[in-house]
Amino acid sequence: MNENEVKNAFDNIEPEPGAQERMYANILKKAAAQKGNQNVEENYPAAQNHRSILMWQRWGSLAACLAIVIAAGFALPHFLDRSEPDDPPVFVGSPFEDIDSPEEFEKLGFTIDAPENAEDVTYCIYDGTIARVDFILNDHEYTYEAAKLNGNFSRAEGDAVGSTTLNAKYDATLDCLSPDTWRAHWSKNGVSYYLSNFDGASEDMIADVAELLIGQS
Amino acid sequence: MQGDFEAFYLRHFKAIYRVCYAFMKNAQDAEDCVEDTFVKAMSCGLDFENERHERSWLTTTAMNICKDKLKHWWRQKVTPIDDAAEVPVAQPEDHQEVTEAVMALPIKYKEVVWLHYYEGYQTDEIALMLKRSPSTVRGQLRDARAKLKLTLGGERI
Repeated sequence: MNENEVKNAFDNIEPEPGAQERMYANILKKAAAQKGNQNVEENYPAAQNHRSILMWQRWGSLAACLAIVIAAGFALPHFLDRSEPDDPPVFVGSPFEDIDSPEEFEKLGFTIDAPENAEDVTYCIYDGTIARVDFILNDHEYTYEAAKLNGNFSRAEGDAVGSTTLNAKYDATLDCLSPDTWRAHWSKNGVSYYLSNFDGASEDMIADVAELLIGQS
Repeated sequence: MQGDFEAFYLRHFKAIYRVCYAFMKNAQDAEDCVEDTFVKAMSCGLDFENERHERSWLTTTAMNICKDKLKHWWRQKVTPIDDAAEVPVAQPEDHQEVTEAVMALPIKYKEVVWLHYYEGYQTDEIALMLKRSPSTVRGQLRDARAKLKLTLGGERI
């Protein structure tokens, strides 16, 4: 998306005539009213406490009812059917494991790293199998991923509208998914690599970064 | 103090109105949210480092206020069946398309689109403001672009 389109479109939206003054007057009124309410609470704390106690009673009763319903929900199956043991609940954690350095990728059987001069570099392991490095280079954000997997496991999903060969030796290809989105991929020594960009880097830019990384991998 | 606050209001009220309009989709609710945002600013008594800090605080506060109002049970009960956005007057046609497309986005995408494309924040800044991870913000921006592409067609995007 063109960076200026949203700004230009919404810059055309203006408050109605008189709204500037009206809103300002309302702001002062609301602020004064708020201050007035605070003074009442300070001067009449007993009244406030009384309201609070009633509120507490109301919400307390509701909480007690809810607790009974939840407890019944857990207890009922035990009474209805005791023939089979319950399966333990499955807790699904986040697939992302943030790590501090590329050395921690070694447990995957390989390592990857951002190119020299990259900024804001972060590392993570996705789903226990995919190494991922996010970085910024020349004002564009890239995601570099690698795994011993087949198929497209990268963040850049979708079919290419155009492709060019970067490096025939490693089967390296640069796919254009849209005017703003590129995906380079190659394989080396049983590891598949993907480099993605979603913010409109030029074809030359991403090709250069991919060539750097192919040499590094 | 009032003079300072008035200058503060005049510096930012249009931008805050626009973000509230993008969320609430009509002038009346947008004005309400603008007012509540500045009332909060007045009552918090925060010391801002610079104008950019003022804007980022006001924008995220305005977004939160809009989201709260949109979630309110009363609004959910009485929202009209035809929830089309009020069409802003006197907009060029292509601007109107973009405006409507952005306003139609789900809230989580609208937030990142607004902060990135209108306010010009980078993904790391947005991540801090919205308390999300940078990778989440990048993914949401990517998904938002895809949705906008579907709505607006491939010609300009």
